[in-house]
Amino acid sequence: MKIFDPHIHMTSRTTDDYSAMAQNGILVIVEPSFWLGQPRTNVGSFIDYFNSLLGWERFRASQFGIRHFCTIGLNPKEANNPRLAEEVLSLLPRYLQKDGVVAVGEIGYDDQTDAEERIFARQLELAMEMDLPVLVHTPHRDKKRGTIRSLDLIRSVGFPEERALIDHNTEETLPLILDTGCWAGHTIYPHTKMDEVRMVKLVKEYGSERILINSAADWGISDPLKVPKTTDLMLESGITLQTIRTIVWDNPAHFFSQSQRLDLAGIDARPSIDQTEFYGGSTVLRGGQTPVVER
Amino acid sequence: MIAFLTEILRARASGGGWKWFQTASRSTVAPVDLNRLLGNYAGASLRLGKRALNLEPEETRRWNSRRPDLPVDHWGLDELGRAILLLKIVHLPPDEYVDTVLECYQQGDSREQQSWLRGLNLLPGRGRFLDAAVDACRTNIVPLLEAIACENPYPAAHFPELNFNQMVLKSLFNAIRMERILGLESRFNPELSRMADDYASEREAAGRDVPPDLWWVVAPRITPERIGRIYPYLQQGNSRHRYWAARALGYARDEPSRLELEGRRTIETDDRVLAAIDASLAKMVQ
Repeated sequence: MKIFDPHIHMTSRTTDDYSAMAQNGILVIVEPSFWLGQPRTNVGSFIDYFNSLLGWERFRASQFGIRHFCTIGLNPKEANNPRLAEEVLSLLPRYLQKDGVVAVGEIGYDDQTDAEERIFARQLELAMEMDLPVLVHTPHRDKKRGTIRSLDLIRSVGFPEERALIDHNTEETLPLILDTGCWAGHTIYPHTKMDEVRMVKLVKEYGSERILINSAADWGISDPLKVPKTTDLMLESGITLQTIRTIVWDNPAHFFSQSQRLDLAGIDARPSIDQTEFYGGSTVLRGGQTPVVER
Repeated sequence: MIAFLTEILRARASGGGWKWFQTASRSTVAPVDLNRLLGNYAGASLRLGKRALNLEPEETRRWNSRRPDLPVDHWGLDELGRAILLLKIVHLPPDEYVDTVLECYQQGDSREQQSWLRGLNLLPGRGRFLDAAVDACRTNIVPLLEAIACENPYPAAHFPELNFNQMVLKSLFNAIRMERILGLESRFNPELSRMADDYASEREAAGRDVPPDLWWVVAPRITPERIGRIYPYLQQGNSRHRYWAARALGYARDEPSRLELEGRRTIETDDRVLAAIDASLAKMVQ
Protein backbone atom coordinates (compact mmCIF):
# COMPACT_ATOMS: atom_id res chain seq x y z
CA MET A 1 0.00 0.00 0.00
CA LYS A 2 1.25 3.48 -0.87
CA ILE A 3 1.40 5.71 2.15
CA PHE A 4 1.57 9.49 2.57
CA ASP A 5 2.43 10.64 6.12
CA PRO A 6 1.16 14.22 6.24
CA HIS A 7 2.87 15.15 9.52
CA ILE A 8 6.25 13.90 10.67
CA HIS A 9 9.28 15.72 12.14
CA MET A 10 12.12 13.94 10.39
CA THR A 11 14.88 16.26 11.64
CA SER A 12 14.56 14.36 14.91
CA ARG A 13 14.71 10.90 13.32
CA THR A 14 17.48 8.60 12.18
CA THR A 15 18.37 7.10 8.82
CA ASP A 16 17.16 3.75 10.23
CA ASP A 17 13.75 5.35 10.49
CA TYR A 18 13.92 6.46 6.87
CA SER A 19 14.84 2.92 5.78
CA ALA A 20 12.01 1.37 7.78
CA MET A 21 9.53 3.94 6.49
CA ALA A 22 10.50 3.27 2.89
CA GLN A 23 10.22 -0.49 3.45
CA ASN A 24 6.73 -0.03 4.87
CA GLY A 25 5.40 1.82 1.86
CA ILE A 26 5.83 5.43 2.90
CA LEU A 27 6.45 7.36 -0.31
CA VAL A 28 5.64 10.95 0.57
CA ILE A 29 5.96 12.92 3.79
CA VAL A 30 5.19 16.43 4.93
CA GLU A 31 7.38 17.86 7.69
CA PRO A 32 5.76 20.79 9.45
CA SER A 33 8.02 23.29 11.15
CA PHE A 34 7.48 23.27 14.87
CA TRP A 35 9.40 24.04 18.02
CA LEU A 36 12.54 22.22 19.00
CA GLY A 37 11.59 21.02 22.46
CA GLN A 38 13.00 24.13 24.04
CA PRO A 39 12.60 27.78 23.17
CA ARG A 40 14.84 29.41 20.58
CA THR A 41 16.50 32.61 21.76
CA ASN A 42 17.02 34.40 18.45
CA VAL A 43 15.66 34.60 14.92
CA GLY A 44 18.82 33.13 13.41
CA SER A 45 17.86 29.76 14.85
CA PHE A 46 14.65 29.90 12.82
CA ILE A 47 16.49 30.75 9.64
CA ASP A 48 18.79 27.76 10.05
CA TYR A 49 15.90 25.48 10.98
CA PHE A 50 13.76 26.49 8.00
CA ASN A 51 16.76 26.09 5.72
CA SER A 52 17.45 22.62 7.05
CA LEU A 53 13.85 21.57 6.40
CA LEU A 54 14.14 22.79 2.82
CA GLY A 55 17.65 21.56 2.24
CA TRP A 56 19.42 18.83 4.12
CA GLU A 57 16.29 17.07 5.34
CA ARG A 58 14.75 16.89 1.88
CA PHE A 59 18.03 15.52 0.58
CA ARG A 60 18.21 12.90 3.35
CA ALA A 61 14.67 11.75 2.52
CA SER A 62 15.52 11.51 -1.16
CA GLN A 63 18.38 9.16 -0.33
CA PHE A 64 15.77 6.63 0.81
CA GLY A 65 13.34 7.18 -2.04
CA ILE A 66 10.97 9.35 -0.02
CA ARG A 67 9.56 12.63 -1.29
CA HIS A 68 9.83 15.30 1.39
CA PHE A 69 7.68 18.42 1.53
CA CYS A 70 7.41 20.88 4.39
CA THR A 71 5.19 23.51 5.94
CA ILE A 72 6.64 26.73 7.29
CA GLY A 73 5.19 28.85 10.06
CA LEU A 74 5.62 30.16 13.58
CA ASN A 75 4.45 27.58 16.12
CA PRO A 76 2.03 28.71 18.84
CA LYS A 77 4.39 28.17 21.77
CA GLU A 78 6.97 30.58 20.42
CA ALA A 79 4.25 33.01 19.35
CA ASN A 80 4.31 34.05 22.99
CA ASN A 81 7.75 35.62 22.66
CA PRO A 82 6.73 39.01 21.21
CA ARG A 83 10.10 40.15 19.87
CA LEU A 84 10.95 36.84 18.29
CA ALA A 85 7.43 36.41 16.90
CA GLU A 86 7.65 39.65 14.93
CA GLU A 87 11.06 38.78 13.56
CA VAL A 88 9.94 35.33 12.46
CA LEU A 89 6.73 36.64 10.88
CA SER A 90 8.77 39.01 8.77
CA LEU A 91 10.77 36.04 7.43
CA LEU A 92 7.73 34.04 6.42
CA PRO A 93 6.76 35.67 3.10
CA ARG A 94 10.09 34.74 1.58
CA TYR A 95 10.15 31.22 2.97
CA LEU A 96 6.59 30.54 1.87
CA GLN A 97 7.60 31.12 -1.74
CA LYS A 98 10.21 28.40 -1.77
CA ASP A 99 9.87 25.09 -3.61
CA GLY A 100 8.32 22.24 -1.69
CA VAL A 101 6.56 24.43 0.89
CA VAL A 102 3.03 23.07 0.75
CA ALA A 103 1.29 24.91 3.58
CA VAL A 104 1.65 27.43 6.39
CA GLY A 105 2.08 25.50 9.61
CA GLU A 106 2.04 24.34 12.28
CA ILE A 107 0.04 27.27 13.50
CA GLY A 108 -2.73 27.46 16.08
CA TYR A 109 -3.15 27.59 19.83
CA ASP A 110 -1.09 26.20 22.68
CA ASP A 111 -1.92 28.04 25.93
CA GLN A 112 -4.67 29.91 24.08
CA THR A 113 -3.26 33.34 24.92
CA ASP A 114 -4.09 36.60 23.15
CA ALA A 115 -0.61 36.63 21.61
CA GLU A 116 -1.16 33.18 20.11
CA GLU A 117 -4.48 34.25 18.65
CA ARG A 118 -2.96 37.33 17.05
CA ILE A 119 -0.12 35.37 15.46
CA PHE A 120 -2.48 32.58 14.37
CA ALA A 121 -4.81 35.11 12.66
CA ARG A 122 -1.93 36.87 10.93
CA GLN A 123 -0.62 33.59 9.56
CA LEU A 124 -4.09 32.65 8.29
CA GLU A 125 -4.13 35.96 6.43
CA LEU A 126 -0.64 35.37 5.13
CA ALA A 127 -1.68 31.94 3.85
CA MET A 128 -4.52 33.57 1.93
CA GLU A 129 -2.14 36.09 0.40
CA MET A 130 0.25 33.31 -0.57
CA ASP A 131 -2.55 31.07 -1.76
CA LEU A 132 -1.45 28.27 0.55
CA PRO A 133 -3.37 25.82 2.74
CA VAL A 134 -2.76 25.76 6.50
CA LEU A 135 -1.85 23.01 8.95
CA VAL A 136 -3.41 23.79 12.31
CA HIS A 137 -2.10 22.29 15.55
CA THR A 138 -4.76 21.84 18.24
CA PRO A 139 -3.65 22.24 21.84
CA HIS A 140 -2.96 19.39 24.25
CA ARG A 141 -4.58 21.20 27.13
CA ASP A 142 -8.18 22.36 26.93
CA LYS A 143 -8.31 20.72 23.53
CA LYS A 144 -12.02 20.87 22.81
CA ARG A 145 -12.23 24.58 23.59
CA GLY A 146 -9.03 25.20 21.63
CA THR A 147 -10.41 23.35 18.63
CA ILE A 148 -13.66 25.31 18.70
CA ARG A 149 -11.70 28.55 18.97
CA SER A 150 -9.51 27.51 16.01
CA LEU A 151 -12.56 26.82 13.85
CA ASP A 152 -14.14 30.12 14.93
CA LEU A 153 -10.99 32.03 14.03
CA ILE A 154 -10.75 30.37 10.61
CA ARG A 155 -14.33 31.41 9.97
CA SER A 156 -13.94 34.95 11.25
CA VAL A 157 -10.81 35.57 9.18
CA GLY A 158 -12.68 34.22 6.17
CA PHE A 159 -10.12 31.50 5.50
CA PRO A 160 -11.45 28.87 3.05
CA GLU A 161 -12.28 25.84 5.20
CA GLU A 162 -11.41 23.28 2.55
CA ARG A 163 -7.84 24.55 2.70
CA ALA A 164 -7.44 24.01 6.45
CA LEU A 165 -6.19 20.76 7.97
CA ILE A 166 -6.94 20.65 11.70
CA ASP A 167 -4.64 18.20 13.40
CA HIS A 168 -4.40 16.01 16.52
CA ASN A 169 -8.11 15.22 16.75
CA THR A 170 -9.81 13.02 19.29
CA GLU A 171 -13.21 11.37 19.67
CA GLU A 172 -14.54 14.66 20.96
CA THR A 173 -13.13 17.00 18.33
CA LEU A 174 -13.48 15.00 15.11
CA PRO A 175 -17.25 15.56 14.78
CA LEU A 176 -16.68 19.31 15.29
CA ILE A 177 -14.28 19.38 12.33
CA LEU A 178 -16.49 17.28 10.06
CA ASP A 179 -19.35 19.74 10.67
CA THR A 180 -17.21 22.33 8.87
CA GLY A 181 -15.46 22.10 5.51
CA CYS A 182 -12.06 21.58 7.16
CA TRP A 183 -10.00 18.38 7.03
CA ALA A 184 -9.33 16.34 10.16
CA GLY A 185 -5.87 14.95 10.99
CA HIS A 186 -5.24 12.31 13.65
CA THR A 187 -1.90 11.74 15.28
CA ILE A 188 -1.31 8.12 16.19
CA TYR A 189 0.98 8.09 19.20
CA PRO A 190 2.18 5.32 21.50
CA HIS A 191 0.66 6.89 24.64
CA THR A 192 -1.12 10.18 24.09
CA LYS A 193 -3.34 11.76 21.44
CA MET A 194 -4.84 8.84 19.44
CA ASP A 195 -4.00 5.14 19.13
CA GLU A 196 -4.58 2.57 16.39
CA VAL A 197 -7.53 0.82 18.03
CA ARG A 198 -9.37 4.06 18.71
CA MET A 199 -8.63 5.23 15.17
CA VAL A 200 -10.18 2.09 13.70
CA LYS A 201 -13.31 2.80 15.73
CA LEU A 202 -13.45 6.36 14.45
CA VAL A 203 -13.08 5.27 10.83
CA LYS A 204 -15.86 2.70 11.29
CA GLU A 205 -18.07 5.43 12.66
CA TYR A 206 -17.19 8.36 10.39
CA GLY A 207 -15.75 6.83 7.22
CA SER A 208 -12.94 8.40 5.24
CA GLU A 209 -14.16 11.75 3.95
CA ARG A 210 -11.69 14.54 4.87
CA ILE A 211 -10.03 12.21 7.42
CA LEU A 212 -6.23 11.81 7.59
CA ILE A 213 -3.82 10.03 9.91
CA ASN A 214 -0.19 10.80 10.72
CA SER A 215 2.60 9.73 13.04
CA ALA A 216 3.80 13.21 14.05
CA ALA A 217 6.98 11.36 15.02
CA ASP A 218 9.45 13.78 16.60
CA TRP A 219 11.97 13.90 19.46
CA GLY A 220 9.43 12.58 21.95
CA ILE A 221 8.16 9.03 22.37
CA SER A 222 6.63 8.44 18.97
CA ASP A 223 6.78 5.96 16.11
CA PRO A 224 7.42 6.86 12.46
CA LEU A 225 5.63 3.65 11.40
CA LYS A 226 2.34 4.47 13.07
CA VAL A 227 0.58 5.16 9.74
CA PRO A 228 1.44 1.74 8.23
CA LYS A 229 0.68 0.07 11.58
CA THR A 230 -2.74 1.70 11.71
CA THR A 231 -3.29 0.78 8.07
CA ASP A 232 -2.61 -2.87 8.94
CA LEU A 233 -5.05 -2.80 11.83
CA MET A 234 -7.72 -1.17 9.66
CA LEU A 235 -7.29 -3.96 7.11
CA GLU A 236 -7.50 -6.66 9.79
CA SER A 237 -10.59 -4.98 11.19
CA GLY A 238 -12.42 -5.32 7.91
CA ILE A 239 -12.21 -1.72 6.70
CA THR A 240 -12.19 -1.69 2.90
CA LEU A 241 -9.04 -1.10 0.92
CA GLN A 242 -10.68 1.83 -0.80
CA THR A 243 -11.48 3.53 2.51
CA ILE A 244 -7.93 2.99 3.75
CA ARG A 245 -6.42 4.25 0.51
CA THR A 246 -8.53 7.40 0.76
CA ILE A 247 -7.23 8.06 4.27
CA VAL A 248 -3.53 7.31 3.84
CA TRP A 249 -3.04 8.46 0.29
CA ASP A 250 -5.80 10.29 -1.59
CA ASN A 251 -6.76 12.69 1.18
CA PRO A 252 -3.29 13.99 2.07
CA ALA A 253 -2.29 14.14 -1.61
CA HIS A 254 -5.44 16.02 -2.51
CA PHE A 255 -5.23 18.37 0.47
CA PHE A 256 -1.62 19.44 -0.11
CA SER A 257 -2.01 19.59 -3.89
CA GLN A 258 -4.12 22.68 -3.22
CA SER A 259 -0.79 24.44 -2.73
CA GLN A 260 -0.07 23.97 -6.45
CA ARG A 261 3.41 22.89 -5.34
CA LEU A 262 2.76 19.18 -5.15
CA ASP A 263 2.04 17.66 -8.52
CA LEU A 264 -0.34 14.72 -8.27
CA ALA A 265 0.92 13.30 -11.55
CA GLY A 266 3.77 10.94 -10.77
CA ILE A 267 3.68 11.52 -7.04
CA ASP A 268 3.00 7.83 -6.43
CA ALA A 269 6.11 6.71 -8.31
CA ARG A 270 8.99 6.23 -5.91
CA PRO A 271 11.86 8.49 -6.94
CA SER A 272 14.98 6.49 -7.75
CA ILE A 273 17.69 6.50 -5.15
CA ASP A 274 21.23 7.65 -5.79
CA GLN A 275 23.29 7.57 -2.64
CA THR A 276 26.39 8.74 -4.46
CA GLU A 277 24.88 12.22 -4.39
CA PHE A 278 26.11 14.91 -2.05
CA TYR A 279 24.32 17.85 -0.46
CA GLY A 280 26.56 20.83 0.24
CA GLY A 281 29.49 18.45 0.50
CA SER A 282 27.67 16.04 2.82
CA THR A 283 26.39 12.53 2.22
CA VAL A 284 24.23 10.24 4.33
CA LEU A 285 26.84 7.53 3.85
CA ARG A 286 29.74 6.95 6.18
CA GLY A 287 33.14 5.59 5.23
CA GLY A 288 33.11 2.08 3.78
CA GLN A 289 29.36 1.97 3.06
CA THR A 290 28.20 0.95 -0.38
CA PRO A 291 25.86 3.50 -1.90
CA VAL A 292 22.49 2.33 -3.20
CA VAL A 293 22.09 3.48 -6.78
CA GLU A 294 18.91 2.94 -8.81
CA ARG A 295 19.04 4.28 -12.33
CA MET B 1 18.05 37.50 54.52
CA ILE B 2 21.35 37.19 52.65
CA ALA B 3 23.25 36.71 55.89
CA PHE B 4 21.01 33.88 57.04
CA LEU B 5 21.05 32.15 53.63
CA THR B 6 24.81 32.47 53.46
CA GLU B 7 25.05 30.90 56.90
CA ILE B 8 23.01 27.92 55.69
CA LEU B 9 25.26 27.63 52.64
CA ARG B 10 28.46 27.87 54.63
CA ALA B 11 27.35 25.18 57.08
CA ARG B 12 26.95 22.75 54.16
CA ALA B 13 29.59 23.66 51.58
CA SER B 14 32.89 21.81 51.40
CA GLY B 15 36.05 23.80 52.15
CA GLY B 16 36.74 24.19 48.44
CA GLY B 17 33.13 24.97 47.70
CA TRP B 18 32.99 27.75 50.27
CA LYS B 19 36.24 29.25 48.97
CA TRP B 20 34.85 29.17 45.44
CA PHE B 21 31.66 30.85 46.57
CA GLN B 22 33.56 33.68 48.24
CA THR B 23 35.49 34.31 45.03
CA ALA B 24 32.30 34.02 42.97
CA SER B 25 30.61 36.58 45.20
CA ARG B 26 33.18 39.11 44.11
CA SER B 27 31.81 38.89 40.56
CA THR B 28 28.62 40.50 41.88
CA VAL B 29 30.38 43.71 42.91
CA ALA B 30 29.99 46.69 40.52
CA PRO B 31 30.95 46.90 37.74
CA VAL B 32 29.47 43.44 37.12
CA ASP B 33 31.15 41.45 34.36
CA LEU B 34 28.18 39.58 32.91
CA ASN B 35 30.28 36.80 31.44
CA ARG B 36 31.96 36.08 34.73
CA LEU B 37 28.68 36.16 36.58
CA LEU B 38 27.12 33.74 34.06
CA GLY B 39 30.12 31.45 34.47
CA ASN B 40 29.72 31.44 38.24
CA TYR B 41 25.97 30.95 37.94
CA ALA B 42 26.68 27.89 35.80
CA GLY B 43 29.56 26.64 37.97
CA ALA B 44 27.55 26.43 41.19
CA SER B 45 26.47 22.81 40.60
CA LEU B 46 30.05 21.70 39.98
CA ARG B 47 31.48 23.61 42.95
CA LEU B 48 28.76 23.31 45.57
CA GLY B 49 27.01 20.07 44.60
CA LYS B 50 23.33 19.38 44.40
CA ARG B 51 22.64 17.90 47.83
CA ALA B 52 19.28 19.00 49.26
CA LEU B 53 19.48 21.55 52.08
CA ASN B 54 17.37 19.56 54.58
CA LEU B 55 17.31 22.31 57.19
CA GLU B 56 17.93 21.51 60.85
CA PRO B 57 14.92 22.10 63.16
CA GLU B 58 16.42 25.34 64.48
CA GLU B 59 17.13 26.57 60.94
CA THR B 60 13.59 25.65 59.89
CA ARG B 61 12.18 27.66 62.78
CA ARG B 62 14.28 30.64 61.86
CA TRP B 63 13.42 30.32 58.16
CA ASN B 64 9.72 30.02 58.82
CA SER B 65 9.75 33.16 60.89
CA ARG B 66 10.96 34.97 57.76
CA ARG B 67 9.28 33.24 54.80
CA PRO B 68 6.71 30.69 55.92
CA ASP B 69 5.32 30.68 52.37
CA LEU B 70 8.55 29.47 50.78
CA PRO B 71 9.75 25.90 51.31
CA VAL B 72 13.50 25.58 50.71
CA ASP B 73 14.22 22.18 52.23
CA HIS B 74 14.27 20.53 48.79
CA TRP B 75 16.58 23.14 47.22
CA GLY B 76 20.02 21.91 46.28
CA LEU B 77 23.08 23.66 47.70
CA ASP B 78 23.87 24.86 44.16
CA GLU B 79 20.41 26.38 43.92
CA LEU B 80 20.86 28.25 47.16
CA GLY B 81 24.26 29.50 45.96
CA ARG B 82 22.70 30.77 42.74
CA ALA B 83 19.89 32.51 44.60
CA ILE B 84 22.42 34.31 46.81
CA LEU B 85 24.42 35.44 43.76
CA LEU B 86 21.26 37.01 42.29
CA LEU B 87 20.48 38.68 45.62
CA LYS B 88 23.94 40.19 45.63
CA ILE B 89 23.40 42.12 42.40
CA VAL B 90 20.32 44.04 43.51
CA HIS B 91 22.60 47.09 43.80
CA LEU B 92 22.60 47.37 39.99
CA PRO B 93 20.45 50.07 38.30
CA PRO B 94 16.90 48.62 37.97
CA ASP B 95 16.97 47.92 34.21
CA GLU B 96 20.42 46.39 34.29
CA TYR B 97 19.43 44.31 37.27
CA VAL B 98 16.38 42.89 35.45
CA ASP B 99 18.37 42.22 32.28
CA THR B 100 21.18 40.52 34.17
CA VAL B 101 18.83 38.29 36.14
CA LEU B 102 17.02 37.36 32.91
CA GLU B 103 20.30 36.49 31.20
CA CYS B 104 20.99 33.99 33.98
CA TYR B 105 17.69 32.31 33.09
CA GLN B 106 17.93 32.51 29.32
CA GLN B 107 21.47 31.28 29.09
CA GLY B 108 21.00 28.66 31.77
CA ASP B 109 20.87 24.93 31.27
CA SER B 110 17.95 23.03 32.71
CA ARG B 111 19.36 22.89 36.26
CA GLU B 112 20.26 26.58 36.22
CA GLN B 113 16.76 27.43 35.05
CA GLN B 114 15.25 25.27 37.77
CA SER B 115 17.39 27.07 40.35
CA TRP B 116 16.35 30.40 38.91
CA LEU B 117 12.65 29.56 39.09
CA ARG B 118 12.99 28.63 42.77
CA GLY B 119 15.29 31.49 43.69
CA LEU B 120 12.93 33.96 42.04
CA ASN B 121 10.88 33.99 45.22
CA LEU B 122 13.66 35.76 47.09
CA LEU B 123 14.22 38.59 44.63
CA PRO B 124 12.84 42.06 45.19
CA GLY B 125 10.36 43.17 42.53
CA ARG B 126 9.93 39.57 41.40
CA GLY B 127 6.72 40.43 39.54
CA ARG B 128 8.99 41.81 36.81
CA PHE B 129 10.07 38.28 35.96
CA LEU B 130 6.56 37.03 35.29
CA ASP B 131 7.04 36.49 31.53
CA ALA B 132 10.00 34.18 32.02
CA ALA B 133 8.21 32.23 34.74
CA VAL B 134 5.15 31.79 32.51
CA ASP B 135 7.34 30.78 29.60
CA ALA B 136 8.99 28.11 31.75
CA CYS B 137 5.61 26.35 31.87
CA ARG B 138 5.85 25.78 28.09
CA THR B 139 8.74 23.40 28.61
CA ASN B 140 8.59 19.70 27.87
CA ILE B 141 11.24 19.03 30.52
CA VAL B 142 9.26 17.77 33.50
CA PRO B 143 11.82 18.72 36.22
CA LEU B 144 11.74 22.26 34.85
CA LEU B 145 7.94 22.34 34.93
CA GLU B 146 8.07 21.01 38.49
CA ALA B 147 10.50 23.75 39.52
CA ILE B 148 7.87 26.40 38.79
CA ALA B 149 4.66 24.46 39.40
CA CYS B 150 5.56 22.53 42.54
CA GLU B 151 6.55 23.66 46.03
CA ASN B 152 6.83 27.15 44.59
CA PRO B 153 4.61 30.02 45.76
CA TYR B 154 5.33 32.20 42.73
CA PRO B 155 2.55 31.08 40.34
CA ALA B 156 -0.27 31.42 42.88
CA ALA B 157 1.07 34.83 43.87
CA HIS B 158 1.80 36.26 40.43
CA PHE B 159 0.32 34.33 37.49
CA PRO B 160 -2.74 35.72 35.71
CA GLU B 161 -5.66 33.29 35.71
CA LEU B 162 -5.15 31.99 32.17
CA ASN B 163 -1.50 31.12 32.77
CA PHE B 164 -2.20 29.65 36.18
CA ASN B 165 -4.92 27.42 34.73
CA GLN B 166 -2.67 26.27 31.90
CA MET B 167 0.04 25.37 34.40
CA VAL B 168 -2.39 23.29 36.44
CA LEU B 169 -3.64 21.47 33.33
CA LYS B 170 -0.10 20.79 32.20
CA SER B 171 0.68 19.41 35.65
CA LEU B 172 -2.33 17.08 35.41
CA PHE B 173 -1.02 15.97 32.01
CA ASN B 174 2.34 15.16 33.52
CA ALA B 175 0.87 13.21 36.45
CA ILE B 176 2.07 15.81 38.93
CA ARG B 177 0.13 15.59 42.18
CA MET B 178 -2.13 18.60 42.66
CA GLU B 179 -1.16 18.94 46.33
CA ARG B 180 2.32 19.99 45.20
CA ILE B 181 0.96 23.20 43.66
CA LEU B 182 1.22 25.78 46.43
CA GLY B 183 -1.79 28.02 46.90
CA LEU B 184 -3.88 26.03 44.44
CA GLU B 185 -7.00 26.29 46.60
CA SER B 186 -6.68 30.07 46.73
CA ARG B 187 -6.74 30.14 42.93
CA PHE B 188 -9.63 27.77 42.20
CA ASN B 189 -11.85 29.36 39.55
CA PRO B 190 -14.79 28.33 37.33
CA GLU B 191 -12.71 28.26 34.15
CA LEU B 192 -10.12 25.97 35.73
CA SER B 193 -12.92 23.71 36.92
CA ARG B 194 -14.35 23.58 33.40
CA MET B 195 -10.95 22.90 31.82
CA ALA B 196 -10.19 20.04 34.20
CA ASP B 197 -13.72 18.68 33.75
CA ASP B 198 -13.26 18.76 29.95
CA TYR B 199 -9.93 17.01 30.34
CA ALA B 200 -11.63 14.25 32.33
CA SER B 201 -14.24 13.89 29.54
CA GLU B 202 -11.48 13.70 26.93
CA ARG B 203 -9.72 10.94 28.91
CA GLU B 204 -12.97 9.09 29.44
CA ALA B 205 -13.83 9.28 25.72
CA ALA B 206 -10.40 7.85 24.93
CA GLY B 207 -10.87 5.02 27.45
CA ARG B 208 -7.99 6.28 29.55
CA ASP B 209 -7.54 6.75 33.28
CA VAL B 210 -8.29 10.14 34.82
CA PRO B 211 -5.83 11.62 37.36
CA PRO B 212 -7.53 10.87 40.71
CA ASP B 213 -6.90 14.29 42.22
CA LEU B 214 -8.38 16.09 39.21
CA TRP B 215 -11.76 16.20 40.96
CA TRP B 216 -10.31 18.29 43.72
CA VAL B 217 -9.74 20.99 41.08
CA VAL B 218 -13.10 20.45 39.38
CA ALA B 219 -15.45 20.20 42.35
CA PRO B 220 -15.13 23.57 44.12
CA ARG B 221 -16.48 25.52 41.14
CA ILE B 222 -18.43 22.85 39.29
CA THR B 223 -21.89 23.75 38.05
CA PRO B 224 -24.47 21.94 40.24
CA GLU B 225 -25.92 19.82 37.44
CA ARG B 226 -22.50 18.26 36.75
CA ILE B 227 -21.58 17.17 40.27
CA GLY B 228 -23.04 13.71 39.60
CA ARG B 229 -20.23 12.90 37.14
CA ILE B 230 -17.92 12.46 40.12
CA TYR B 231 -20.10 9.77 41.76
CA PRO B 232 -18.79 6.78 39.74
CA TYR B 233 -15.27 7.59 40.94
CA LEU B 234 -16.44 7.07 44.52
CA GLN B 235 -17.04 3.42 43.59
CA GLN B 236 -13.76 2.77 41.72
CA GLY B 237 -11.51 -0.14 42.61
CA ASN B 238 -8.50 2.12 43.03
CA SER B 239 -8.66 3.73 46.47
CA ARG B 240 -6.93 6.89 45.28
CA HIS B 241 -9.91 7.54 43.01
CA ARG B 242 -12.31 7.00 45.90
CA TYR B 243 -10.26 9.19 48.21
CA TRP B 244 -10.21 12.17 45.87
CA ALA B 245 -13.84 11.73 44.82
CA ALA B 246 -14.77 11.74 48.51
CA ARG B 247 -12.74 14.89 49.15
CA ALA B 248 -14.16 16.58 46.06
CA LEU B 249 -17.75 15.87 47.07
CA GLY B 250 -17.13 17.79 50.27
CA TYR B 251 -17.52 20.92 48.15
CA ALA B 252 -21.05 19.89 47.13
CA ARG B 253 -23.99 21.06 49.16
CA ASP B 254 -26.76 18.96 47.62
CA GLU B 255 -28.68 16.06 49.09
CA PRO B 256 -27.79 13.50 46.35
CA SER B 257 -24.08 14.06 46.97
CA ARG B 258 -24.57 13.63 50.71
CA LEU B 259 -26.44 10.35 50.06
CA GLU B 260 -23.65 9.14 47.76
CA LEU B 261 -21.10 9.72 50.51
CA GLU B 262 -23.33 8.13 53.18
CA GLY B 263 -23.86 5.12 50.92
CA ARG B 264 -20.17 4.63 50.27
CA ARG B 265 -19.45 5.02 53.96
CA THR B 266 -21.40 1.85 54.76
CA ILE B 267 -19.24 -0.32 52.48
CA GLU B 268 -15.87 1.50 52.45
CA THR B 269 -13.00 -0.44 54.01
CA ASP B 270 -10.01 1.87 53.36
CA ASP B 271 -9.27 4.03 56.40
CA ARG B 272 -7.94 6.93 54.41
CA VAL B 273 -11.04 7.02 52.21
CA LEU B 274 -13.30 6.70 55.25
CA ALA B 275 -11.57 9.68 56.85
CA ALA B 276 -12.09 11.70 53.67
CA ILE B 277 -15.78 10.74 53.55
CA ASP B 278 -16.25 11.77 57.18
CA ALA B 279 -14.45 15.07 56.64
CA SER B 280 -16.60 15.83 53.62
CA LEU B 281 -19.84 14.92 55.39
CA ALA B 282 -18.83 17.16 58.29
CA LYS B 283 -18.11 19.97 55.84
CA MET B 284 -21.56 19.54 54.27
CA VAL B 285 -23.34 19.91 57.59
CA GLN B 286 -21.67 23.25 58.27
